[in-house]
Amino acid sequence: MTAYLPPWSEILATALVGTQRRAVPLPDQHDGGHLPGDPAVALLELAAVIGSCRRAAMRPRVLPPQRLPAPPAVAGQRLLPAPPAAVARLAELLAPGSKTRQHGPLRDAAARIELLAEWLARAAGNSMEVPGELVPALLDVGRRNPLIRPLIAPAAGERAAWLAAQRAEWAYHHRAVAGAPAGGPVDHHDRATWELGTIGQRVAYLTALRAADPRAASCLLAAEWDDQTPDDRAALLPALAARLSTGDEPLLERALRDRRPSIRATAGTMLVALPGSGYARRMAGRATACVDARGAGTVLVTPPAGCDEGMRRDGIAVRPPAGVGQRAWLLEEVLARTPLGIWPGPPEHFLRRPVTEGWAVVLHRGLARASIAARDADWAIALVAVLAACVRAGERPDDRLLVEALYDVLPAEEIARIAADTLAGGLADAGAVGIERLLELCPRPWPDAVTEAFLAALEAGVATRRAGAWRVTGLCEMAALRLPTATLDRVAAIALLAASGARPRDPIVAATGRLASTLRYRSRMLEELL
Amino acid sequence: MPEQAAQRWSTDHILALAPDLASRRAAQRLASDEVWVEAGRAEPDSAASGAAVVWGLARGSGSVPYRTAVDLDGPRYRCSCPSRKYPCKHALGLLLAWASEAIPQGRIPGWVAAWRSGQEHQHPEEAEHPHSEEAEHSRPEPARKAGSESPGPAGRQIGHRALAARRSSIATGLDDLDRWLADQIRFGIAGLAGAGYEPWDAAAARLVDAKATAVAGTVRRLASIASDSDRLLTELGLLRLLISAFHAADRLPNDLVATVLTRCGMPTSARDVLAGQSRIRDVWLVVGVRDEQEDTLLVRRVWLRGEASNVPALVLWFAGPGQAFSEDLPLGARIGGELAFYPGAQPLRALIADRDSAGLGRAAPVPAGASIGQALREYADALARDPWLEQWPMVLSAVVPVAPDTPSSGRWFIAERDGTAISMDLAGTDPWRLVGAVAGRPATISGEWSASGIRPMAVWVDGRAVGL
Repeated sequence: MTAYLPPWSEILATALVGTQRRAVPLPDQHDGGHLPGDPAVALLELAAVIGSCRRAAMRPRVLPPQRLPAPPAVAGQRLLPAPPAAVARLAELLAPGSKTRQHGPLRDAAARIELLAEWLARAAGNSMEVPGELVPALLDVGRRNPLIRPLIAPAAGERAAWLAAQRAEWAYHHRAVAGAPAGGPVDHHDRATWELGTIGQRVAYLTALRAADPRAASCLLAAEWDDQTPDDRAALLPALAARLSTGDEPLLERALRDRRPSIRATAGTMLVALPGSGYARRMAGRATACVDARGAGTVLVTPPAGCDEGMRRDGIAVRPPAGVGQRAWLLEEVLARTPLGIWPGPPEHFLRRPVTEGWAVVLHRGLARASIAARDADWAIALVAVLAACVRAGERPDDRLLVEALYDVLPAEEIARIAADTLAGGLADAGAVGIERLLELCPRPWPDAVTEAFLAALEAGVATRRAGAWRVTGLCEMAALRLPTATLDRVAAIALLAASGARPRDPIVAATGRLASTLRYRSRMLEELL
Repeated sequence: MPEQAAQRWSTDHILALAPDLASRRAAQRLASDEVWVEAGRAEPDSAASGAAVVWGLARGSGSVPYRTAVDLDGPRYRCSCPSRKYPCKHALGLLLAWASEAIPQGRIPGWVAAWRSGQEHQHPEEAEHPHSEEAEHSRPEPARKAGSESPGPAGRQIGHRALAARRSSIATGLDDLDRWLADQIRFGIAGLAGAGYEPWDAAAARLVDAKATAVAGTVRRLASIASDSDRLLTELGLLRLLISAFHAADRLPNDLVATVLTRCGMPTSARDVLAGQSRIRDVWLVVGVRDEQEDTLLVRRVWLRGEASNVPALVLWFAGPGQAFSEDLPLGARIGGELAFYPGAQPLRALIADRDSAGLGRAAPVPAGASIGQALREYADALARDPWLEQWPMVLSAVVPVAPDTPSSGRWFIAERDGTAISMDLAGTDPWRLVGAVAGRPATISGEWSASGIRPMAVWVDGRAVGL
């Protein structure tokens, strides 16, 4: 070995420009070195020796201590590690590989997210933990799927919070945990947020202020109402919906005259909800003038003769939609804005009373709209029974949307009861009254009564082949993610029944088969988490 | 449900039986409930009904369903479909459905019984299949091997004369490369940085023609580091060193000659490796599994470490397009047995010469790791024996990943508690997976060390081995 080797920088400098243009720095050769005559080859041999030495002599860096991560704080309650099979399943749900991408329930991205949600909820319920290596992927999924966000903290614990603090992309996690609105945590003492914040932050500020001091929030918005852009007014007004009081009435009356229809509608809904507001009294006056519900006999309906200036100012739309009579429309508009409390007796009694020939339909529509706006469950329950019967009988099929909107107002147990009753009438009829919407609103997994009714209806539909194939397909897809997994055997039997003697390519065979496959997948998934 | 006599196979295991990728895909579509009618399974019982069997009728596009049956002892497949693939997609789909517990227990129908009683009279090659137990013993590596480095049957048949011819052909190729290298240095390597893949691919193609396949691969890979002139110069120097070592083979020790010849593309047959002296018996722990695409070939590197000897070893598997690896040596597995190492100055690549039949299970103990300083010294020693070493396995104990101080740029590190650190080579892996697993608490991490840094392969946390 030579005693002296030229510095690497010299060798590199020559190599970059070429030995034609720059001399090769030759080593000191006491030992009668035998470097080749060609300077290019000599340079390469030097590079091999010195380059290898540099590689072998590689020293570690020393990082300042503050660069090293501090481990997350250990939480009070320890979660158990999830079993290996469950971990493998979660990995598959988070990032389906080529093996699963083309088949089974994971083929559908939306279904995959629902399965993931079910995994997380079951794991948290059994005090099991998402393994650390999968938490980053879980946080990535949560970024795109708000449905997943609230489920992360219970199943991933302090590790999720610790990781989320390290990347801006995962910052949503802290908000999801704290329950703060999307604009970030807001301090209602910090007036700068109101003055300078984005519209999201300003809504959050006003909401926080409303919770702390309702009057101050009302005054703040009233003082600056005219300076806001229409978009901002529309965004800010709903923040006052909580803790309404008569002090808010002047501002709401102003909003009722706004140029933008959506702001007028919001203000109207809020004024109806405000007990004793002038608006509510005005509407009640108009309604009782048209609908005489005194006594216990027939409800007498005399529709308004026309739309006066006061009605128009209170937001009544003059032009009826196509196919609706002018006076019927005006009555519906008035009823939709009238507090439901003015009608005598419990809702179901009131609705059972006879109505002036031909006007029951309009009355029910108006009351349905009022109960949807007020989110009044008692009225909604009674109205669903009446309207659904009409829709099912084919009298007024276009009221289906109204019925579906009423479902949104119902409490969970009532939804389950109605869903079960509706399914008992068979799949074909159930479709007419928006069974899909009802089942979507049912708690998961479906309660026993709904499960039983669904399976019975499916069995009957498959056996008689009377239900439409597209309807069965849609319902099976929904049921696959919502039926309790204990129904697997029964569903498999139904799938078998569907397959026996079917024509080739019968879509019902595929639908029931897929239902069984997905249920089997969920059943195994949940068993793994025991 | 009664205790299952025939244990269910994993999906991976079943898919590994597929003859090609198309069959795997098709089989997955056929694995669902809607396909199979009159399907059933029968477990072996005390009566002479033989092994477990699964059968079913597959609804195809035609009016008559195909009859498919799989005898799980073997396994042997039977299907009335016209496919010439063996096993066909229906047989695989049936197995997948069976593995997901979609097939109920039933009575063996007549056609299955008839097939099973008649199968002894079939042609022997139909009964033979790639995963039978007998075949396992004669095959040193579970996956079928292909490609240039493969010591498969083709390699075994190369006679002395052919070897000599190959060697002289390689010599010609290397001389050509030598001139090309000198030209690059003569005109300066600065120009190579922006030249793209073309010059490397052209040089590599000439080497392939000269059968110097291993060098060709090295040259082709240089395209990706051409912009790092510091590293490029070292690599070019090492190529020149390889060429002079090849020509000076008669003056070098045998081990080093073996290293040089292998690096140049001279094949070593598996039979020679198994017949060689370089064997170590130990309990081997799988400390890393890395799959990489090389041209059309999928290469799996399984890194082992001996528990008693602390010797690192590399088992290579190859799979052609659509072929699958057997899941025989998963990360964290612990196997007792003897490895036969390929000859070389720094033995690393090995074959599993003999494996204790009693598996030691997957209860993975944490491998004994080294400090960063120790690991770098070991690497320096290995490099002194084989300067052409590309990846060197490291198992580091009590280390944590360290994120860059600026989120968008900057380097990732693997560091010890006192701040001693080496940089991480991300190369397509997501470092956050590692961060999440470790969560700031020092852990044992294995990785492949190269001139670009350490590329993490696995981490041990709470007694589990987690692949990265």
